[in-house]
Amino acid sequence: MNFIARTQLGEWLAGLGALAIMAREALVSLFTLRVTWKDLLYQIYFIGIKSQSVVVITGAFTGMVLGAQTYFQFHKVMMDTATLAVVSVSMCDELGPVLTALMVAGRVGAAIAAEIGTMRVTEQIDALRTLATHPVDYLVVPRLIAAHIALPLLTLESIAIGIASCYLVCVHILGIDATFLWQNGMKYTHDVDVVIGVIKALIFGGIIAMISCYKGMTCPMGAEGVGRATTEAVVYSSITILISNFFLTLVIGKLVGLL
Amino acid sequence: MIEVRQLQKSFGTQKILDEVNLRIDSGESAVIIGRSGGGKSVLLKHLIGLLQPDAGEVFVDNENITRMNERQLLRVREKFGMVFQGAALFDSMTVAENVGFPLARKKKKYTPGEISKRVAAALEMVDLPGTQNKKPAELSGGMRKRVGLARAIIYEPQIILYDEPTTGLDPIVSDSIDQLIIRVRDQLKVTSVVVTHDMRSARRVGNRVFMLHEKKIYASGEPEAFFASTDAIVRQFIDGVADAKETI
Repeated sequence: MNFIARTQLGEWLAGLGALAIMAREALVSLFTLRVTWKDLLYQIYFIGIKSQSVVVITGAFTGMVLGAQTYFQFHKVMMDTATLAVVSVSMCDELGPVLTALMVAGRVGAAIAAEIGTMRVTEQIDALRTLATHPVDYLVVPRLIAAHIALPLLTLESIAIGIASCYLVCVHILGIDATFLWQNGMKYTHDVDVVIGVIKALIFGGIIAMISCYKGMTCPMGAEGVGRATTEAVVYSSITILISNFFLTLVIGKLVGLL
Repeated sequence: MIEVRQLQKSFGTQKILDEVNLRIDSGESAVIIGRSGGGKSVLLKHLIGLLQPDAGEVFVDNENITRMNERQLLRVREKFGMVFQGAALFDSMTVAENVGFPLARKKKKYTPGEISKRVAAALEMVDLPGTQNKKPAELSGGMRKRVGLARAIIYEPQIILYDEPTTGLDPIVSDSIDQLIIRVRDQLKVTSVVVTHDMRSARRVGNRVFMLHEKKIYASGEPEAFFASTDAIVRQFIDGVADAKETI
């Protein structure tokens, strides 16, 4: 039992070390600007544009259901017009960045791990190396930069759509007064809430890109290996996002004086 | 010049190479033969630094590459071209993009016109003119290997490594690949290292043969002498018989 625990702990630590080495390589490459615009724009398109549908649907229905549920509770204490304020702050600080990141981890993280994993098992990564191209420069860095650009934009979009959806549900279905609803919403939502959401999205973008690329680059051989790498990329990215979100909330809260 | 000294490599508990020594001089065409799973491809990957040995050293032009990190190795790899067993073409790219990839990534800037001219010339050399816009999935096994070779020669390397270039191909296509290897060797004056277990191919393309057996270089020599060997192990492999007694 101890042996198994030691082995698993050893493997986990070795994996963490390898991930850190890859992150360092990516950082070196970032500062020496080895990335090409063509690769970067394609990745921004793939991560940002191609994720529109999942982000829009997630943002819209989260805003709507949160609005309805908040209204049901607030209506009991006659605080109907505070509904948008709660939804707005929740979307900016937590739900916008976290749900967007989870959806992108599912769609993009899986695709990145599968693509790079397949390249590894078909020796395409070895071919890159023989062609004097560092795999981190060519495969990881464009995805990392693209995720850092796309995630904050997708999160802002999700927040905006979530708030707009909530507003429409509150005004047109639940019959809340539009003026008071909007005024309260804006009164309690501050610029700093949006900034918190964007900072979290930036960090989540890095988490998704690094974990997914790492899982693809270290994928075990064979079709089963690619399948496992894909699953692990999504699971590990999602878990890391959820855990880090808690600590980010505490740290950022402290920094901006909310705690 | 490539020199391997006391090379050892294991995967887990399984030892693949044990104190392998070999030297390939510039301009030489070396063939490494041996049984499937005997470590030929592993040895080849050590020559270009794709694998790191557990012990021993690999020298390329008197430079020890076993102590180098991945970024230092990139400079050494500019001397090499490699043709993979499964061609390892980038399946998201066209043939032209695959072949032109090394030039597009070079520090020295090539204009799109220059790249396209050199791609056409490389494809011409491997007898695949006009295939620029095809995707790897649309090509046969033999064509994929030719495109892999075109990609390996486009930047005029000094050394070309071939990992089982004729495996899985019919005899006619295998013969054409052999002729191509000879043509590339003679026209570009490159050092060639070919890993194969195809005896016909080994006899034709090599001017020196190394046989890997029981994790070591068991025998080596010029093709005429090597293929006339009376050693039971060598004969068994050359004649392709399951029982060594049948060769005596």
